Amino acid sequence: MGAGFPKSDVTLKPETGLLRNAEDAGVEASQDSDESLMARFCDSDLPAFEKLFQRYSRPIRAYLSRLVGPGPAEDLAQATFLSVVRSRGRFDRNARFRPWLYTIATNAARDHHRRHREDLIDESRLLSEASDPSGASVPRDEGLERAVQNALGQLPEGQRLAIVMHRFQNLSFAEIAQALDLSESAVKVRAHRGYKRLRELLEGVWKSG
Amino acid sequence: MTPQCQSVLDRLGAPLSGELLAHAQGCSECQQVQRSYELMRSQALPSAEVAPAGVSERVASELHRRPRAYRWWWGPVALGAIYSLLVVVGILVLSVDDTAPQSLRIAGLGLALASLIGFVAALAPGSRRTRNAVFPVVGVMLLSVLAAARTTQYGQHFWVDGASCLLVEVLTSLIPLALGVWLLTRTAFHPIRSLLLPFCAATAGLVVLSFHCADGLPAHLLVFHLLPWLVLSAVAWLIRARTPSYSYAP
Repeated sequence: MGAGFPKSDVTLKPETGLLRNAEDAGVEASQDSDESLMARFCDSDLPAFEKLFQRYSRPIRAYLSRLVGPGPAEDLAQATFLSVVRSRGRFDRNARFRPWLYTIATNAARDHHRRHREDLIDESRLLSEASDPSGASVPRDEGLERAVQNALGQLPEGQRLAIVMHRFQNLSFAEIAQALDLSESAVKVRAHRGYKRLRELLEGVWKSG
Repeated sequence: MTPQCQSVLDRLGAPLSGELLAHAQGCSECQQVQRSYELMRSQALPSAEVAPAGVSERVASELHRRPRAYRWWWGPVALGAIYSLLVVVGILVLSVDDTAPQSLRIAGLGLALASLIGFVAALAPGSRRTRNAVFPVVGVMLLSVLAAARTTQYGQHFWVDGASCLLVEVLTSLIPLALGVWLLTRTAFHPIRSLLLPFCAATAGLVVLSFHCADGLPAHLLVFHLLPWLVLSAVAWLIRARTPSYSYAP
């Protein structure tokens, strides 16, 4: 579990396994924060952007894969990072970088959805992706994955985004609230309803599991 | 959702103890939430390890073309300057109707001020509340411009008088609208943002008309003042909705 990138916003989020030991803490502390890297990039420091890209390339592609499928996700991930470059002047240096990045990725997915008039989650593409083991870091249950994606696809967009960001991308509710331009309590209500609805939709899977 | 449910939600994946544990064990909603969360624990990241090709080159090329990061407020400042310039030129060039009541001109200037604020609200990153607040302000100023026209003072020729108003409205608003749509394409498409900006940009003609035309005939105001403003705004919104975004930043 986890997005597979070092997190600069050091929050004690138990389920992510962050800062479990002193070694991890040392690694985290020695790294530049996202915000300082972004500030340097705004001052035309290209290596700073490369670091950000290395940190977030994979999580962003994973996030977009969950929203639009892996094929478009590659293009949209590129568009997301290009948007960071093109709109670096719009980044508020007092704001957090990660929610801003996820806002951009979400906007890219929404735009894709709007232009292609298709479901935000395309099951057939997700299934073909699920059969590709190249990126799997843990054993995958394709049946379960299919059921979960199918259930996620049946949620309203607001609930789906809140759950994907929270469960799969390990964003805190405060970060999700910033990314979606909502209050934190509104995000919690959406996530709560979404998890409840998922439980109902995954009833059969749960029983068989 | 109770405050305790919120606390359980905050601590999903972490061991619960004390009151929260007791609550979670007795709350069916929290149990549903926890089970969904646990069920998705085994979900792997559906992503390949390979970085997308060509990003570095595209980024370097982008930085080479635009080495400087422009702050967001350049957009509204430029738009506001052009809007103000066109309004001033329009007022100076066109014959001013001396019979127009002072309240009409004041209302026109108020509308211009509200529109300038609207530019900032529409183009500023993450200003949802301000955007929502500016809409009714622009609406009230617009109504005050229409209401300030003398209902006893009608033009002699409905279509001829109206055509000149229509022309002023369209010609004065075209450049701010075009620039506004271009600025909107520099960010992600947002329906409200993309509606507010054209609404404000298209008021340039209305502001000029508040000095130029005191015709208070409701049909004249509706057909030659309000309708063109509405149509221009709607067309600009549609164009923006169909134009690709240069960036997906908020």
